[in-house]
Amino acid sequence: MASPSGLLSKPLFWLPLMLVLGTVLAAPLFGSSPSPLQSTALALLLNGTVVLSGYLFVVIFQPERF
Amino acid sequence: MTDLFQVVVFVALVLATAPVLGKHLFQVFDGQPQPLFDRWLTPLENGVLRLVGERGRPAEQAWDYLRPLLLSNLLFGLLALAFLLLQPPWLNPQGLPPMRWDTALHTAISFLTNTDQQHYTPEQSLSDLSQLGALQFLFFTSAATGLAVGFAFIRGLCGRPLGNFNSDLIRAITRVLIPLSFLFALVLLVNGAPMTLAGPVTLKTLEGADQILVRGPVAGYEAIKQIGENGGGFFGANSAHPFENPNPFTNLLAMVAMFAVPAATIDAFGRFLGNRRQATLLLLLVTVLFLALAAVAIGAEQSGNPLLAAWLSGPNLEGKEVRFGAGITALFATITTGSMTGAVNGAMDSLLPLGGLVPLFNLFLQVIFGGQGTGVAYLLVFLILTVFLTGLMVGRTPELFGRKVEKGEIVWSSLILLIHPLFVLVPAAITLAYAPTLSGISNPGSHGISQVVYEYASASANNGSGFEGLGDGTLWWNLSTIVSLLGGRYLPIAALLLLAAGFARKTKVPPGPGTLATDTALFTMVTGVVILILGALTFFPVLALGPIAEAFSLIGAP
Amino acid sequence: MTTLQPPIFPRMPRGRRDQRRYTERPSSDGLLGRAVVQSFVKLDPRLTARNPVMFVVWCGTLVTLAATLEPRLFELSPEAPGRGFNALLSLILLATLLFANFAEALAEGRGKAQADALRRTQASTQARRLLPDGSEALVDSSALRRGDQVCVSQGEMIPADGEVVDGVAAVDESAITGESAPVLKEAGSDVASSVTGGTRVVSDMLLIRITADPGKGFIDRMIALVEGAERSKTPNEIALTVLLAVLTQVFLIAVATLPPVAAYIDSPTPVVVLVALLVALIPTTIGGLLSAIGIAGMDRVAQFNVIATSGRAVEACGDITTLVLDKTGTITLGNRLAEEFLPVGGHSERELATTAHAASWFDNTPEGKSIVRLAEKLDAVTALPMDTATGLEFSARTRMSGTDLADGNELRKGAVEAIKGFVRSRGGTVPADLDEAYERVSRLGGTPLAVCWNAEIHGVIYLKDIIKPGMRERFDQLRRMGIRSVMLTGDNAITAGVIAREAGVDDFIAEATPEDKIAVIQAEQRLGRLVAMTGDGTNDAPALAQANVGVAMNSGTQAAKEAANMVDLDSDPTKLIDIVTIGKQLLITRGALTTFSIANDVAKYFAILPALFGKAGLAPLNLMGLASPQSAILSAMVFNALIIPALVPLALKGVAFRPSTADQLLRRNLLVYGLGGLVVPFIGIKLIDLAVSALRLV
Repeated sequence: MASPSGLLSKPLFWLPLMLVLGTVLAAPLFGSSPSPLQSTALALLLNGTVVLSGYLFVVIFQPERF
Repeated sequence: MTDLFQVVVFVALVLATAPVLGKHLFQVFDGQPQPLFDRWLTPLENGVLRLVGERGRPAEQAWDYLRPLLLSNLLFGLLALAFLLLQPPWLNPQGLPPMRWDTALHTAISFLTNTDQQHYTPEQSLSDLSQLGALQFLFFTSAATGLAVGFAFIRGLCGRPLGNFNSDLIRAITRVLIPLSFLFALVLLVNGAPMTLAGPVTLKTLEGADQILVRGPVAGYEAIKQIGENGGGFFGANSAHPFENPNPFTNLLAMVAMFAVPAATIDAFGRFLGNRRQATLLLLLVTVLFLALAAVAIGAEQSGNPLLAAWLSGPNLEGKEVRFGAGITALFATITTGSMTGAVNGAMDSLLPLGGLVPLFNLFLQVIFGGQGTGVAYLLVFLILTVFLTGLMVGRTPELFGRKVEKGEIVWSSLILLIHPLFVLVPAAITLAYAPTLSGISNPGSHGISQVVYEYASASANNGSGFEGLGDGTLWWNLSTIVSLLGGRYLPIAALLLLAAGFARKTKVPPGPGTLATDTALFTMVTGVVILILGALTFFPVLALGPIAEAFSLIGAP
Repeated sequence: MTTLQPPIFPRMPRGRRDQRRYTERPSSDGLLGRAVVQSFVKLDPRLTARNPVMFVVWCGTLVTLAATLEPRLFELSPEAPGRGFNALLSLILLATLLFANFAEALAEGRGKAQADALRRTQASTQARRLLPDGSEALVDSSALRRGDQVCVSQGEMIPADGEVVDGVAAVDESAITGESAPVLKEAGSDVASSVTGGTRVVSDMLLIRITADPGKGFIDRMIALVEGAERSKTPNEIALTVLLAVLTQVFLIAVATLPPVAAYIDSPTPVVVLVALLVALIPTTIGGLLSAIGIAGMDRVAQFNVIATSGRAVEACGDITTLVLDKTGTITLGNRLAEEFLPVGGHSERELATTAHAASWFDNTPEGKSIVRLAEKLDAVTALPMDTATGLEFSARTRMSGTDLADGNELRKGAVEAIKGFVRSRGGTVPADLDEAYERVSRLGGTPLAVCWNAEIHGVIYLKDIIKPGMRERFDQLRRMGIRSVMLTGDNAITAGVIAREAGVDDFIAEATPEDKIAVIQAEQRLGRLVAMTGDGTNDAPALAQANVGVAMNSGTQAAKEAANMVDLDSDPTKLIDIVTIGKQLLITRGALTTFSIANDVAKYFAILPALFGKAGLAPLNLMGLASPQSAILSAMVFNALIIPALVPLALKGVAFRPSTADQLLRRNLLVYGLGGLVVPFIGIKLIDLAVSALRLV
């Protein structure tokens, strides 16, 4: 945790950040949902899928890290 | 019966020309002496090479090959774009105005990538200057780029340096594309295709109305359109137009022309490898796959629409050119999508569900002879994947052609597997999600899905045919397909070159009894199954929701 | 001394290979229990994220769990599956994860148990450290450093790895080798001077120079290896991981893009069902078993009493195309015995025998002793004053040994070429019939030793070589696997040729010096071949390091063991063949399960798609006639989960491997795992569906 670069390489730091940020960005797409809970949930789901896909790309190009 | 006869003659012609043309391709790209050509062409080729400041040194890294490729393609694209955007009054007998920017951009990129999707009606939008200077020019360069990549990949897989892109590009044009299209253009001329720069003729029809008949330098354009697997029509009707495709004989030759170069490339690959048996087996494999798909398509179109069976017996003639008939149109559709040409002699939109499934499936696989140069490369990528999957089962780290298939090869070949899902399924899903806003889809239900998926598959596979009926001249369609066009062209090219360069650097292991032989009937069959399963598994859901659901709805399933 | 190295494999296990007993496995009590606990511990996302396929399942489980808590979280339509269905699905997905974790934990557990057994030998002991002034100090074994000298006497534990400096003693090494017979350790000998920490001196006393710092000894490294602490993915595993990640990515995109496509034709796609479809399609079977296969491979090697320094080495074994073997001790029994005296140059047999007797007087090798015995049998005992004579040791460079008498006479015996050179350098001539005798011995497959008295050659001793039983079959097997064997020997070309033919090796290098080994390996590698070799001497170390797979004998020197990537605790050079088989099995198992996993997808599509899109008119795709959409989905998922534990035994034991050509193997495995992978799920899913609907689960 000492250096900022060490912090940035920690998935525990940027993963929640990406999830929250992406969800906020994607939420308007599901504005027509009956409840705000559902629109948030769907936005989170969509964003989670994108993040998961990004994770898979990391695995594909740097399999040694896993 | 005539369909069967045509199929037999067609396949016989393709298989017969493959070794002849393959030997020629091998000589061209292996730099072997060709007395007939060398005398005139070598000084010319060297002159052009000097002009671009090249000495013809072979590339050491993938990037050395890729850099001139990207630079030259960028240049070609900008040149063509300028023609389309300006469309000056020269050679513009109809006085057509410049193209809209997004359509011009889409057209330039679409022809640059050997795709030739046309979101416009050519005879109403393009001057002869644009047809010749922009499109026909790109016909040659895009096909030559594909061939160059294909042979660079082959060289790498055979353990040689990748070669020199500029030299490959020039030789592909001077020794392969120009001679072949010249010959084919002559045949077309003899059969009545026009070749003129004169303006349109105005005719009085039988009803007494005026008809404007557009003419142009069609024969030359048409020849390289087919030989170079480009497919963008001089006329909106493409190969259904009598000027582009005058009679059943030229139709047969056009079909052969689409498969001739990719089939010969497979043959040339065997010569590079020094194992012609391997190439012959691959050629047979794709021929068998092709025949199976063609049988489905022809069968579907010939048996007609079951919903109409009560009133109408016989083949499905909607959207067909009656000069050719339902069966030949289905055959043509199978060939044009298999070979990534995209020329059509009928309306794809009017094919029955199973008849439409075949072209779609062809676009997904991209190896049923495949694109100019890239077809054989994709086929070999599937061979690499098959070797990796099944090769482990003989208890050795998988090897292909004496070199180990390891992480690098898998990363780059699987990237190619990912291109289609990324550039077909993702944009198709977005488009369908916002169907009312983005519009352009002319059919509700499953057929609409097929239309949208087909458009992106055609773009990403660099095929260019369309399921027409799509109002695709809009900003959204132009820009979104550009992404698929570029992604489907240059990402695989980069991956192929990286794969080949890495592969060539590996030490060769001499084969032994413990080595998995890839030139056997068994292994070739396995490769076929892997191609079908990997291709089908990825796209089965959309195929199921599109053509398959539509097929069930036709036969009135419960 | 003879022209060749002394016999080096003092503890060759006897009897037929398949009847030999190896170390009893450490008890497996509690193994299952620990594996169960571990499979829950491994649910930690930080651990799961190391396995891309299972991580996707993990994420999917989160989604279904959320949908269980609130079934209307993601769905609009009233037809969406209810809480009961979601809960069942979550349970099945969780089970899938647990099964995969269990497989890995089970494989690791077996290694851990072995490591625990080893660790028990490591209990801290007291050591008598020798101080520079000659006195002894009692120190803890953990305080010993490289270069210290310790004294270990009868009944005491050797505190750390080291070299014997002085003394001769029997050492019980059963703690690491499982072999109960003690081994003789003595100073100066190339192979018998290295001792391992944790073994016990059972007689006499040894002075040992420590060669390893605490925590870096042989046993420490073994523990780390069998525990998998240093386990990193092998190249092939990495490549396979990439492929699995790509397939997962492809299916993720295919499934994630489905909802808008399906919505276009008004066919809602419940999120939980999409998760089920995704998990069914991604290669969970191989994804869940991949690491277990690798760990089990290392473990199987360990069961053969071989310690591999890395999984990479085991995997490389499968690729070996050339096997470089020493003749002596590997192909032939270590000891060659004098069979006959062949006098030349007009000397009598008795004359020759007497000279040979004198020349071998100081030679303590079995060969030397057998010459003495044969001479004594002929009553040809030397009358020379041996008490004033001095012995000349054999060296690989001179390739001869002998006796120097006090009066300046030099008696030599050794390789014929070496003796010829010796004689010429002393101004003598080579008798005409020497070559005849030499060839006669060579053609019999024996080793000819020339004997000379100063510049005069007296004759040739016929040393008989005995090929180990069963070698021919082993080399035949190797050949069928596509592995070429090369025999290295110091013998002349004719002898080597005869032995090579009799043993059935493919090639041989005669009159080889230790330096030739590395040259042979490099030459083979230049041709792109992967080379395995066994060795034990210090002069083998460079060659062991150069070889793609180097197997050092445990009886060998520390240098050899450090250079090698495997150590055979039984010191049985022919075991390389078993290791090759394990390496191949490892790769086959991986390939077979991958093929099986992908082939399974076809049936799963036919189970789930018609269930998902029944409304869109895809019901006719329900080829299996599954009872209801929900039961179809559950059945496919249950099959997907159950197939993992069902295949655990196969993953741990490895796919059966019979030495045969690549084509035969491919055909057989494709039939079983390819075709089987297509057919089995159709049957399995149908059966589970029958059970699910009979139990009225949905």
